Amino acid sequence: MQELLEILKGLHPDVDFENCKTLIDDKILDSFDIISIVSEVYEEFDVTISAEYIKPENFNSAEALYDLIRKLEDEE
Amino acid sequence: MKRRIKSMIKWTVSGALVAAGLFFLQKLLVPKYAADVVEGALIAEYYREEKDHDVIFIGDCEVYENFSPQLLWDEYGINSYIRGSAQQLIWQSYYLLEDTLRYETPQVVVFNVLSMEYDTPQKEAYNRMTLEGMEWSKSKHEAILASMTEKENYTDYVFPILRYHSRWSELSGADIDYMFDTPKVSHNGYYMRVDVKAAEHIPEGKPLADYGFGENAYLYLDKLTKLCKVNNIELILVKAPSLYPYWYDEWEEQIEAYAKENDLVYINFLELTQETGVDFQTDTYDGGLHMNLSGAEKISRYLGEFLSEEAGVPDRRGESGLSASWDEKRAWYEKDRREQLLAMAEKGAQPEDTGESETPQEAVLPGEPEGMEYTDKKPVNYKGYTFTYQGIRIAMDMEAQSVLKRLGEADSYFEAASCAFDGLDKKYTYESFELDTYPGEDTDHISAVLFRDDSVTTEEGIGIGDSQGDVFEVYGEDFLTENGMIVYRKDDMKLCFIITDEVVSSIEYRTTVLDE
Amino acid sequence: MLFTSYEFVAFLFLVLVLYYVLPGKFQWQFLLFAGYLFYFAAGPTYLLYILTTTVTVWFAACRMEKVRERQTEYLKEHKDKLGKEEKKSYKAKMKSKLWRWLLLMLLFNLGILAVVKYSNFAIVNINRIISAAGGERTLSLRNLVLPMGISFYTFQALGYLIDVYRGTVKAEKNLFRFALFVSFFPQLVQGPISRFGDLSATLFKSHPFQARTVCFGLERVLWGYFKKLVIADRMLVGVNTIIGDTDTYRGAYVFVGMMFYALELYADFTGGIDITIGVAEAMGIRVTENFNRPFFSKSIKEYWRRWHITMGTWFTDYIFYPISVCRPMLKVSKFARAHFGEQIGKRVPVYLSSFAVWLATGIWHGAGWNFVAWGLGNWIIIMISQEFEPLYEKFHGRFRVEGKTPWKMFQILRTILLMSCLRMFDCYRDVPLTFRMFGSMFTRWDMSIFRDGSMYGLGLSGPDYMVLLAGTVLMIAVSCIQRKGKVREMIAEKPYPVRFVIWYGLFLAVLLLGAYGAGYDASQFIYNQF
Repeated sequence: MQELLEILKGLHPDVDFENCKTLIDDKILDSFDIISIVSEVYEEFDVTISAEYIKPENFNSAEALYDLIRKLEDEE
Repeated sequence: MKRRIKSMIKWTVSGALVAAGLFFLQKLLVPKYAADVVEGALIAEYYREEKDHDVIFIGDCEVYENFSPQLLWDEYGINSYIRGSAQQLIWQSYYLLEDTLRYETPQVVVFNVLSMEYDTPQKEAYNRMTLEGMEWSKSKHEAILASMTEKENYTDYVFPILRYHSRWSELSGADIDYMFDTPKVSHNGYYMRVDVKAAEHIPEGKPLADYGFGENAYLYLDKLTKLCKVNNIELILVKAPSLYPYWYDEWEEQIEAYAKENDLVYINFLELTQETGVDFQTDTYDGGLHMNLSGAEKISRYLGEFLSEEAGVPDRRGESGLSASWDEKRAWYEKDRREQLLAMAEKGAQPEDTGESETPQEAVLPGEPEGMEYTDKKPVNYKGYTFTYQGIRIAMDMEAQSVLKRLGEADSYFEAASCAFDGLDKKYTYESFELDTYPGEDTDHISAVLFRDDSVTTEEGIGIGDSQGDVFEVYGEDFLTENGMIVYRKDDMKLCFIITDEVVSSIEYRTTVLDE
Repeated sequence: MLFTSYEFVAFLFLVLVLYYVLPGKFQWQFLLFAGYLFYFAAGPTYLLYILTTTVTVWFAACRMEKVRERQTEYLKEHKDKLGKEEKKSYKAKMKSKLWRWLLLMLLFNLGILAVVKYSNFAIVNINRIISAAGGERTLSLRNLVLPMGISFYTFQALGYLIDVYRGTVKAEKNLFRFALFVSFFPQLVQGPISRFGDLSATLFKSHPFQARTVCFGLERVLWGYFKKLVIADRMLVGVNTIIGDTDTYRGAYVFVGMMFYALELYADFTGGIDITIGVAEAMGIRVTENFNRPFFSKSIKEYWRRWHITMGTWFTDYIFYPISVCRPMLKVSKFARAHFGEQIGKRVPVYLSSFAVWLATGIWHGAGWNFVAWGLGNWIIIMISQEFEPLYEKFHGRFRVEGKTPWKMFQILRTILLMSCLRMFDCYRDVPLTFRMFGSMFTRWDMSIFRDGSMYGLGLSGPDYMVLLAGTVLMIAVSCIQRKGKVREMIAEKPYPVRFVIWYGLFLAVLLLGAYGAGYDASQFIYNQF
């Protein structure tokens, strides 16, 4: 989780990623951010988040994203 | 229950308001044809009449400007009415007669044959002037269907507001004054003009690829003949003495043959100037296109004699009611004549009148400083085929002034007023070609160039007398055929060739912006 | 049948009446019939295209659903027997089955689209290459009819198929229901591109007559006609004059044409969508919004989130993400990071995939280099502004203007100007000509045309300008109200006579001020050939 938060902080240092649950709905993350996240997650976790998982509910909070990574790790 | 009644009242009132609003708006927006373009009001006027006529005229401006029912009554006691309208096409004439037969069956119908030249719908503006005045009936419905150009829509005839909605920006006092009641503009369908403009250089007809009348035109002529036969009406074909549009010998032959075949009387007034006494110096108001009052009365006198002597149309001057109504009409006939003469005299007192013998070049360039070249306001578009004569390049739709100036004085000049509309189409004839112009917004534009002999060629080197093969070689085989002509379209113009026996017999440049 | 034809108005009236007369359970079937009738009226041969796409996509989706069902069943049955690795390889096998179906359908249906829409474009370019290489023989152009709205329904059907592939929606078993999704008539002409999940929520239900729903829907239709007929089609006269004669209309005229076109396109496209959504709404069906007051955007990126939204999200979901997060791309990015450093590595996927998206967007809009140039122009501007972001942050750190009204106004104006400049590619339809015209704005600018009456020479009269001005003010006013509340709700609260006056007024405005019928060139919706 800590690694993920660091990735996110690297993109937007001023956002409170621990608590924010509306990253997509409030347009804090845009499509370019999402790609950066996916490619950095690939580097750090060696997990590919394929396009079908890119939907608001998976990216709205750091927690949701972390759950997604865990689930994908599990499947691979 | 109470709520239901309330809602019913609500919807009824709303519906009524909507309908009433639309009704008044439509009345306000449709053209009134009262102050100008009065020709548009002719067709509707018929319905106000007592319908008991012995002779009905149908046809285009060659009937409503050339025959005077008043004179027919005064001198022969013939009760007649003209159902004419500007550029009335033959199917419109046919349906107008059908419509007339709903009210009365005359003894004689007189049809002017000029409209045989048109085989297809022509211009929306003229369609409107003929069709809108008709009362609704099956005939009107069919007339609309037969007349619509491709761009027109039947719905626009049912709800004229859809057609005229954009007139809100050009409404005038007349639209309010004549919202419900338009003034009378004709004398039993006759449109009176008393002014005089002598006929001068009447241009020859352009060569045509095909002199035969169209299939559709013949179809309606047949229908007309049959309709008259069935109703026991004598159909008389006439050709008014108008010098322009040109009446070709080939057309004359066809009509003569048709009349003979169907046992009809055909009177060509062009050949009867001796007998009628029509003098083209004094009896026309627009240089030979239409008769003025004096000319119309001469022709009517001749026709009246024929109608009563040969066709046996009765003299009804003894009927008191009818007499009284014609007396009333005569009063306004005379008044109209007097007022027009008065207006003319007033106008004549001022040196405003532009004599027709003036050189046109001077007329179109008022107050131009000496020695200054006229420059076109808009750059010339040379994208279409162009014609170059002694270094002067002529493109269709370009402004005419500078070209006319450089070409020098024309051998002859002719102007033709279009029926019912302002502005003159002008024709300048030079030694080897003719140049036509049409009125644009504030200046004339070139509409056509027609070669007169083989001393000139197109930019690409084709002249009269060259072979069909030469044409194909130069212009390719990607052409259209229109009325038997070979037509090359380019940009907003077309280059037309008439080929007779594999040899080019006519070459014409034409704009397509005027086509509908 | 254009939305602005008498036939469509009559058709709509009949459909609405019958729709509510019919028992609820037949309503969707009737809509299917109406859709095909609508399509038939446009051209009987078009039907063949839409039928082909409908049937193939429906069939493939059903097969894919079967594969998925079998997988679930198999895994359930052999839950205990299979090891992790075996499970994984089974899943991979099934996935590749699904993928084959998807690929086949994508190739087939995009192939149809490519052939009818782009083969002439391709032939022209091939011929250019042949003649540049000195070849004599050239290919002749095909005379193919472009079926109405083919881009829209193809994308809509394929979006659905990809969703089925991803498992985000279940395949529709009923062919007729699926056929209705593809041929729902209000959106056949010019979109929006609906998602199956969104549209099917209300499309197949029965909708009993509700005065309020119908009334709201028709209000929106009327408003759409107002935008389209009163503003867009009138403005079009001026736009066509300017772009039709590039010798005369240069310099300041280009600027005028650019701004006219911005307004015209907005009024035309949003007006058309208002009619679409309004018609659907009058039948109780919800269609996804396609616009969100785009001219209030503060950046191009934001503009593209608010203009033609359904197309934007389609490209994002089905092209942008798949390309940017696919394994090869991730590997390229990793490679770039390792060799060119973090900064470049980070940018690689963004640059490459957005390039692909904008290229596709450009081509989607039309078969021509001008559209390609237009798409890439958007891409370049977005990339530049992305790179400038740190600079902006510095700027905002020093000057505290962010969020202040004048700064926002500046951003909005900047966006409008940039977008209008880009649209010149769309206007002039010729890349070098567009650059020439753009340049002429700087070299031949002449203020006097605004004073000497030249503006009346564009085919627009004084009254026309008045109408345009009033109409534009009304449009802006409505947009401003929409930021805070709902215009139609506000109207609904008014007493009946007030509502009546508003309705009748708007109707008469369309009837009298609309630029339709003889005297105006019947203009098609700009978007319906895409």
